[in-house]
Amino acid sequence: MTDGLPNQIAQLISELSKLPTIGPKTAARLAFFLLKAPSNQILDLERSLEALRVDIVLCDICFNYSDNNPCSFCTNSDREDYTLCVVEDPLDLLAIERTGQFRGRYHVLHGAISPLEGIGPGDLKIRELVERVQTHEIHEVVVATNATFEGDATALEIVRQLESTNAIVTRLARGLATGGDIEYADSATLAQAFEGRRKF
Amino acid sequence: MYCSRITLSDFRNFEHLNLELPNEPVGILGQNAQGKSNLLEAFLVLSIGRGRNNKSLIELIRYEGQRPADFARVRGNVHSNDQSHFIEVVFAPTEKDDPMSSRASRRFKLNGKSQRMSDLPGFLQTVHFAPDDADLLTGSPSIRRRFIDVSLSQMRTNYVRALIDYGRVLGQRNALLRNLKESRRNDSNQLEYWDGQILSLSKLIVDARIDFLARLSKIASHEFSALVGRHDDFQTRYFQSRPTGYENFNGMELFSRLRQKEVGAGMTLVGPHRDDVRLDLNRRPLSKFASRGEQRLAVLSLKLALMKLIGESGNPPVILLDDIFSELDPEHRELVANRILEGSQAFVSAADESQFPSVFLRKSRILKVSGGNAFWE
Repeated sequence: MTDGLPNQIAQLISELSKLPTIGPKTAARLAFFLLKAPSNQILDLERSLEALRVDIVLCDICFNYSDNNPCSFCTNSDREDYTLCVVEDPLDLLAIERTGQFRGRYHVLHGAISPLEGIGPGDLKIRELVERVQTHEIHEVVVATNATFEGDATALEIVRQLESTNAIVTRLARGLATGGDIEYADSATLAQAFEGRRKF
Repeated sequence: MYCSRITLSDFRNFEHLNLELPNEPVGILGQNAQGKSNLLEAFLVLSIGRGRNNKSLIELIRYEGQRPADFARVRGNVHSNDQSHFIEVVFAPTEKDDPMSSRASRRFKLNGKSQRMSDLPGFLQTVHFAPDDADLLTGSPSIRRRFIDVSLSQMRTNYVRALIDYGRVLGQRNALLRNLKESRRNDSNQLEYWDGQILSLSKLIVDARIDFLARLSKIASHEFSALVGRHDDFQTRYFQSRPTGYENFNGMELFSRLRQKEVGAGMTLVGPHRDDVRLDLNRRPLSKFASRGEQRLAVLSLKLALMKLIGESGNPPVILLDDIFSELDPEHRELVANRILEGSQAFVSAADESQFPSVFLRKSRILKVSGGNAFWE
């Protein structure tokens, strides 16, 4: 597909097509878009990529991406220290933060257990979580992994590894979506909503 | 239950077809290789989201020379007792640029809104009779599992979900066993979670299958007696896969006893993905002891029974009969034709009009299929 193109362009297409959801065709389209783009736009892109590489680090405490170490979630004195929310990915953290419901601290695992993809407990930040709970006064660990088999397997592993600590481990509730119609809910969701019903 | 209109775009050998359909039996006539089976297959697509015999999805897309068309689309208006739905299923090649690519993706819309593929089965319930149905007896276990799974998917909405979940958990468990075999990591305590998940899904699937087979074979036994004109003992038996020596173990105990074997093989050795069904006539396996004729009638009675079983819910299924009459003698043709005429809508194909029994011809409309086109006579 890149036959006959100057090496530099072929190289760019090959790099772009390594990105998720970008196929060879889209990569070529992007490359030619960049080729025609004004030079200040290219420079901005260059700078952002450079900043990503140089300035963004993993927070040593919660393992979220940040431009400070420790990150602002970990240093913010308005947040309470006794509750930890464990998420699979930084994007999950942002989703929870948008609800405004949670004022504790976070812990990012960077994935979920998935033997198919070769990801075991040792590849996630679970050991670091256990250390954190052991060395700090943590009353509750809220496990907010995805409601998938992989998320459940991860949650179970966390429960197992935190057994020896004093922290209470909780899991996010599962069930009906807000604005959802019971008639159209799938049976697995409905069954879980029943299981997790609460007293008024 | 019936389909009042079907529209095809680049589906199999049909470039474009738009047919209004009566709620009555339809005889489909045409020479070989004109598109009769393909038209029947289009109803199967509306029903279960795929073609016959688990064929790959790309085969459903019409080819323009060497390349598949951009997409194949099947649309249909389906009606049951008090509900009407508009169903659309689209297949598209995954890699359009690569003519050798053999994969396609599919989408399903219900009344114009995208839905999960697993929610499709059930809106148009069908029973498909085909000349290679005898493979159900003599072919591999996977053919029998597929018959049960396709039938159950149309009758129980959560069955498809359970099958999909099972496949996913099975994949994870197999990967873990493979890792343990190659001792890339020591995650053996991880197995416990996947064991639990796979067991509860297995139970759901196996219970549903056994219940289905019990109800089906009860009806099929009557159907078979009516077809052969004598009373025979016709039974189905479900076999849960077990390596020799482990026949009496179940659940977690089975898994723990099999642990070493499974790690050695690097995969899950028991479960609904390996189970089988045996059909017995007078307590002997039909596949071995019955004549070809008996086998044909046995499979026919299974399908007729499925027709009745689905119809018990108050909505008789749409019948798809792909060139079945050519295999039957006149007496059995008439028996089958009468049973079809009792039902709702039916599509019955033949290469020659003389294969249709006169009782069928009197009550049906004839659709002629030729070169990827169809017109009413």
